[in-house]
Parts: sequence; structure tokens; C-alpha cells
Amino acid sequence: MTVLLKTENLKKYYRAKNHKAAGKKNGLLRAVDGVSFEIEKGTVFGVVGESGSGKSTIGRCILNLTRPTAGNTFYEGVNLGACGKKEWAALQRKMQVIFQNPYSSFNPLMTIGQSLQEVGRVHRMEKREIGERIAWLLEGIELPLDSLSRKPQELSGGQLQRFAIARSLVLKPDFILADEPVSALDVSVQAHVLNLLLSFKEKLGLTILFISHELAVVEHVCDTVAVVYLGKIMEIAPVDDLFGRMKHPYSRALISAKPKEHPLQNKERILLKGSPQDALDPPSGCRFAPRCPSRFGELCEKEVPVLKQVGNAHYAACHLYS
Amino acid sequence: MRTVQIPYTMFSEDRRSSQGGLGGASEGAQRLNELCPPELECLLLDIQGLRVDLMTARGVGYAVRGVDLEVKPGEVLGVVGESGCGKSVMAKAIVRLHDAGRTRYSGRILFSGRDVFAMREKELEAFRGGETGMIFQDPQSALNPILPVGEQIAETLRVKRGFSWKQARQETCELLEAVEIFPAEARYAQYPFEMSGGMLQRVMIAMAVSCKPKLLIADEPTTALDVTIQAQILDLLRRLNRQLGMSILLITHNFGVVAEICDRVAVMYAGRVVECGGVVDVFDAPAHPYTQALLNCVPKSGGGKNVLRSIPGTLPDLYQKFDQCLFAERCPHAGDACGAGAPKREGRGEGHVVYCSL
Repeated sequence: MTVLLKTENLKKYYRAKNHKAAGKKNGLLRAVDGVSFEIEKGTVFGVVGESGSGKSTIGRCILNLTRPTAGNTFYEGVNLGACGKKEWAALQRKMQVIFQNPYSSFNPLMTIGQSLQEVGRVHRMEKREIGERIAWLLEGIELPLDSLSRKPQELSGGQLQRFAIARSLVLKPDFILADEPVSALDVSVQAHVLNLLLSFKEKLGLTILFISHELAVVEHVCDTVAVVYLGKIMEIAPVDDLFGRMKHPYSRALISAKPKEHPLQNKERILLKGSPQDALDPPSGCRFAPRCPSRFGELCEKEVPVLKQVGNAHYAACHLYS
Repeated sequence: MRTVQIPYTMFSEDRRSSQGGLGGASEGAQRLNELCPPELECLLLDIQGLRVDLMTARGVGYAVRGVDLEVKPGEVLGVVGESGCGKSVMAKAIVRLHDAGRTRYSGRILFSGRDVFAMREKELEAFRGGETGMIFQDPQSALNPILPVGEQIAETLRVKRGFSWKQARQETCELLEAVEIFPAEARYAQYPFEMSGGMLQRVMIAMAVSCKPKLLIADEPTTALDVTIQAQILDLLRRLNRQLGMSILLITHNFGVVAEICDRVAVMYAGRVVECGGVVDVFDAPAHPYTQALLNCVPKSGGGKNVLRSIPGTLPDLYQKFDQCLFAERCPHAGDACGAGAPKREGRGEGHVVYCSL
């Protein structure tokens, strides 16, 4: 398998405005703190974590929607941070994005058709080609042609999200960043949108970076999953390994918190104490140490664990395995 | 039908005696039997043919179209449905929280035998927050941003139970500890913006149970929270239910939450209850096509990469009146009987009812 996208030690720090009042060390908010992973071509790579863990920031940094503080992202071997304007424009065609809330990612003054054409126009596609492409995509998302003349607010969330998928595919990209694409939708609609996304993935051989906090969805959609906590990757594993044989105590707690599927299901529940630490003032050792049920002493509090291989394509950042 | 007054223990006493985690399911059932012997038909809340019409700029919206629902003392009843199915409108109607000028209620809501729609303003005030408590999806917007959280709980105690500030403060701290907010004294003085979403939801719960309500109405209490925090909050709700014998009407769109803490579940679609029964019965043998379809939409663990089954079509028009089955248009089993008249109520074993003509 070939690697399509690779990040190396990606970091994004924000300077907190009012750090003195907050009384925090140096006023740096470490949203993403040294994240490295590889995404193989044609697979769905999931990023799960709780809110504030930095999962969306990882996605935004990869697409350069926010400039990373440090670290590199390589797309087919090209360093995205160091490429020229022309090269970047060509790469943008190959990397597209779907956001969580379709109502805020469509221009309310444009009709859906205009929004879809706009993407092709900006990237200098031929008019006829744009039209053909949109017609083909409409068939794929199972919506009638006349819905193109509607405005976003006239459509339901599910319909609009299907258009968001179509819009992301107008330029024939190879890579899609899907940032919580179904979190705002009802289950019956969510199922439809996920089915569409996966069927396009099969048809077009897409590679998807799928960011979500919903474990059931991630388990259904992804091939490989990274678990993030406070800006750091805790574990990366093939999906079956993660949900069956997770190694990191945080992954175990997170997955055990997933609600039951059946009332009689007997589940071990690891209730974590408290809520995640502040990213302004993260623990000096392992980020998870203060809440970790398997913490075993000073090492956890002093030294930051690195990702170690613990199985086939399975990595965990925990002192238990070093 | 007879309504029985439920014995009520003091919050703090009860807390001390049953510290030490959750009891088993059988313990809950046993307690339920003690409170409410099966030979007696006793109901805490009895909703009969409730309709809620909302007057909007676009016309009359038929949000709740005839709901029959009952809550027994000490049980957790889940109400599931997708957005727009009327579950929140129904919950608010139980305490008559809708704007009276723009809402038309019909049907009856009996709470411990008293008709909520016949209550006077004074009586209603004591009923809201006294005998019932309510928590909402977004605690951030339910709390006053410029008052310390402790004071907001204490204010409730002063108004509803006539405490002095000193008493109220002490009781508030006990309540905060009961919902696992430590250290309570320091947290008392904090403002909502200083707390996380999970913490604020705990504050809301503390406030809602401060007057020892018999019924807690929880409208999507964990939807805005992360899974690990959701697990904590559900655990807390379950414990309060066990320790206080407080019934919970839990509104959610998540079947996982239902499986986690509910005793019975009612499935709503387009303003009507389509199926109601014990959780195990509904999960094992969903009788209504809508319930079946909804359960099929949920991705299952170990289900592999199978295509999920979605429900084709959209919700029926809110502004139109209907008699016939509202799901018929989207139903894979729909026949001639479905278009004619209201769906028949049918019993499926003990306490399991389904509204379907098939």
C-alpha cells in the first residue's frame, strides 16, 4: 500500500490572550502537540477524541486552513508547508473538505447550483465539464435536478449535507477531510449520508480523513483509527484491533463509555473522574496521567510517553508498553 | 384506576444510607414493587390524548397529535424520536411551559390524579420545580451567566422551600456534593463560565432535584456532552432515581442512552407515540415498522462494513391535520388499511403496545 498523506510532528499552539488572569504557565494553548501519522491510499482514517482534544485542529492544519506552528504534512511526498502558490493551487483540487454544519458552509445568498458551480469556476474547469460533473453527482446523492435552484435554508440538514458531499467531489479530488460530517444529523439521515459517502469512496477510490466523536460511526466507517487526547495521539490501530484489543487506558475508558447497544448487554464501565485537563496547562508527563486508572507512579507524571508498536500496525503511547 | 401517594424520604438521609454505588437491576425492580404493588394500578403521570397545537406565523403547527403515555412511580421512561417528532413540545406541555397565548392544549394530563390543565397559576408554580424538576439540553443557556451557580440553586430553595440564605447555602453545598461537585464550598461561588459543560449539567440536576421532585423531566440531558461525560451523567441520574425513588422522563434521540438507563421506552413519530413497552421487549421485538427502521439505522459494533439501512422519505407536514397512520408513506409494509383511519392500538404482551393497523 502506498502512503497518500503523512504528517510529521504537527503542532499548533495558540497564544492565550489573558494568560496572566488565568494564572497559567506561559500562556500557550497546545491544541495539537506533536502529531504524526500516515494515511494509506484508498482507506478511511479516523480521528476520535472528546471535544477540545484538538481533532478538528489536526484536520485544519493538514489543509493549511490554519497554519501549523511546527511540523510538516506531506501529500504524495510533496511538503504542503513549503510548496509554491501554483503547486498549492493544484494540490487544493485534490484535497477537499466536508464540514459539520452544512448551513454555515453554504453561502445563504447563492442557490445550491451556484455554490456547486462556483467551485469548478474558481478552479478553471470548463463549463460543460462542470455541468456534466454536477449532473453525475446529483444522481449519486439521489436528489432531483430542480433542487439545484433552491437556497440552503429551504433544504433539510440531511439534504444539504448530501450537497456538501457533492460539492467536495466536483473537482475530482483524491482526498477528503470529513470533519464531523454526520454529527448534526438524525440517525435515519445519518445512515443515508454515511452510505453515500462510503459508496463514493468505493466508486472513486477516495482516501478519507474522518474526524468524529461518535464511536459507533467511527467503528462503522473507518479502517484505521487514531485516538487523540489533549492534542496528542494516544493510540493508532486498525479499527477491529482498537475496538477489540485496545491497549491504551484512555482508549479503554473512552470505548467503555460508549452506550450499550442492548439493555441486557453486560458491559464493563470505566468511569473516568473529572473532565479533561486544560490545554493551557497540560500535565508535564503523560497527558492522561491525572485521570488514568492504571497510572503507576512517577514515570507517568514526569515523562511524556512516545508511540510504540504494540502489535501489527498497532501503536500506543503509554509507559505500560515501554 | 387509583392513584397512590408515594412515600418520600428525605434526600440527605437517603443519600447516607445508600452510599456505595449502584444497586443491581433486580434491586430496582424490587423497590418498584414495594412502592407500587403490581395489583394496584398506580400512576404518577397519566397523559391522555394530549394534543398541542402551536400558533405560528405560518399557521397552526400540529406538534403533538394525540399522545397517551404513563409514568409509574420510580421508573425511568425514555421517549425517543428524531428531531421534529414533538418529544420536547410534549415534555414542556407536561408543566405547561408553552406560551399560553400561542398554544392550544387538548386532552388531559393527570399528575398524581390532579389535572395539570385545571391548575391555577399559584398551584402551577408549586408544581413546576416543586413536584417536577426539569433539565434541558444546553445547561449554559439555562443558567444565569452573571450569578454564581450556588446562589442560583440557593435562590430556588429560598423561593420554593422558604429557607433562609444560611440554610439554603448549607443545603446547596450538600446538593452539590450529592451530584459529585467537589469542593462544594469553592464551587458554590463560581460562575457558569468557569465550569465545563458536564459540571453545569450536574448543577442543573442539583437544582432540579433541590425540591425533591417526584418526576424529573430530562430533555436531551447528555446530547451536548462527550461520551465519557455522558456516562458520568447517566450514572448520576440512575443513582438519583434509585435513591430518591424519583421517576424520570428522559427525552433523547439516542437509543444507546435508552438502553443504558431506561426501564420503559416510548417511540414517537410526527407527534404520536407509535410504540411503547419495556426496553428489553422493544429492543428484542420492535413491533412497529418505524421502530424497526430506526433501530436498523444505528451502526452496530462488529457489524462490519455492511450498508446501513436508512429510512427513505421525509417527515409529514407539521401544518397539516392527519387521521391516518403518519408513517405509511415511508413504511415498507404499508397496505390499504393504513390510509384509512387512525392506526389501531394493539397489545403485544405485558405493557407493550403498538399503534399500527397491520
